[in-house]
Amino acid sequence: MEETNKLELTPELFEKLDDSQKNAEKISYESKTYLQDAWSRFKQNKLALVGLGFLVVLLLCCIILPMVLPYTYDGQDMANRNAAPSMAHIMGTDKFGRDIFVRILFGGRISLTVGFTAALISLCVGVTYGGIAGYAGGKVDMVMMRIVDAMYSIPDMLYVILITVVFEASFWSILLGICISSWMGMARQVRTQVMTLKEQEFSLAAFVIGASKKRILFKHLIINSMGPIIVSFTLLVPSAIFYEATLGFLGIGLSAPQASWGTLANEARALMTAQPLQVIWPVLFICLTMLALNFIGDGLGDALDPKKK
Amino acid sequence: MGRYILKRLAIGAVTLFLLASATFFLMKATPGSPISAEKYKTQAAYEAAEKLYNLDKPIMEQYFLYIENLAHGDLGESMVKTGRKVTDTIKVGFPVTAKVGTVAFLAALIIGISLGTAAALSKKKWINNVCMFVATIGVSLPSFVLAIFMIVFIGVKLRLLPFIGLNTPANYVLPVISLSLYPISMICRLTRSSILEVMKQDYIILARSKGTPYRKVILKHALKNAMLPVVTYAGPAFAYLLTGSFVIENIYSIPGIGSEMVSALTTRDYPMIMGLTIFLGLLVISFNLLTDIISASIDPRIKLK
Repeated sequence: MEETNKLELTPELFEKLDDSQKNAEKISYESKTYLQDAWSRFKQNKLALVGLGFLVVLLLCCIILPMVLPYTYDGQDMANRNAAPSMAHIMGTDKFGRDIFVRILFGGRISLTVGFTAALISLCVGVTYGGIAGYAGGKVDMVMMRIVDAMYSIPDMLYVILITVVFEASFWSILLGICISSWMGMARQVRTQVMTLKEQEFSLAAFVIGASKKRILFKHLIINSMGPIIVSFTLLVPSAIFYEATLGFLGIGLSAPQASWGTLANEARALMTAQPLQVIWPVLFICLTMLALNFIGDGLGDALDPKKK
Repeated sequence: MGRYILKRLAIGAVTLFLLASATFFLMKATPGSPISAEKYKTQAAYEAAEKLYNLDKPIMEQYFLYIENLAHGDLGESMVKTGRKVTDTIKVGFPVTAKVGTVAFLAALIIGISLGTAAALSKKKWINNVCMFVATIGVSLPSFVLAIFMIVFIGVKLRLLPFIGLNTPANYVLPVISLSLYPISMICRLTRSSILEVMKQDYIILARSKGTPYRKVILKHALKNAMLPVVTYAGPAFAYLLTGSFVIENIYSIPGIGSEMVSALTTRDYPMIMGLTIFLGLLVISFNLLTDIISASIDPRIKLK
């Protein structure tokens, strides 16, 4: 009897599972980090992907192509003025015979740098200011937000214009003007976020284990409101590009031979009836870049909000 | 309510005062001036000009004089166009700007609200797509980019519409489209989401189950209640349209205050820049206040603090 019950377990009875089947009985999702999750949702938005693709290609072109192409942004070729687009000059030449494509790429460097830098500075200022106001609450909050309200009630364009008049139009003065006019929106948004988050348990828990106020504010509250902050950042970039282009277009922006897209459009304006293409090129780039950034912003807005799963 | 208005008025006045002071000192700190010794033939003429603009006095005295004149509604005289008062420039320029601005505002309200309502209520997909298309384009396309496209294609290539000045009604078409596209897209978005929200409310279900005609439910119940976010947006937007877009007036050669501002900026006409800045600030601040009061009287649920 004993002999029959005894089970023989030899290695041959077992079969090795291949890796893919190892977790077959687990029914949970593959665990993803927040960013992977956001990326997978971002990928579903086709417009946002197209926007991102365009922006990356544009950035690469602006950085690399001017080094490769045989023209410079101020190299004049008087024999070849106002040339139509051809193989030599993809977008033609302007009234001094300068290659428009190369000038647009250089303009793109300026416009994009202004856009991203201004948005980044506004982001830092706005987040810190709004964070402090929201976390401190009470009188501090009241006074800080009244200041924002007062500044908000003055048209944005006035700040930008006044600053460029006072400090003479240069890269830095334009940057300063745009930053002064655009940090308030961010500050308001962060304040509201921080005010709701600071009532939640995790912030209380951090307080109880003795985290400093600064740590709670920057490591807990602001990190947790990063989603909306990133979204407003992507929307701040096109608005900064817009301000800079407007200044250039009005003729109070950067001066020649440096040229942003706005300045290029302004230079070509005089020839609008005879050479409409020259004004269309820079304007087209402003328009496409702003559309791309807005699409990315919309896509990120959906992707970074975990509630929209 | 009365206390609230008083408080807001006080804050508005302080803001305006700060704006006036800030622009004054900024302009004083600006290097270069249209009044310089080289421009005048004799020393006496230069001194006379300096005296006219109080430039011979210490800066604080200039400041107090400036604020005192401001309180009397006197914005000073242009430094470039001699003898031209800033207030006169506003009197001539503002009606022009306001005309274009009002037309653009009305267009934005009508088109924006109808497009938004259609998109929210219609089951046809293309209407929704049109609404979203307008909303996206309007928000991301800068007004001057649109203006240039229209001038090049409609004005220059097809010669359909004039694009310089404001002499005939046809001249209004292009500037109004350029000015109103952004507010149209905003109003369209706001109306759409607001109506979608309102249609879920109990009072709409009640009205419909009582047998109220669909038209009446939409017009009397839904639209009226959905208008609040639109009003909150439209007030300040109207102020911005009235202050005139610097770029749009510049492109279409419209002789409004926006154009005046740009030419003052390029010629460094400081009294003109200061005066127009304060005027624009005043306009925007008062419209913000008005909007808040109107939205509170539309919706009694809003408590003014």
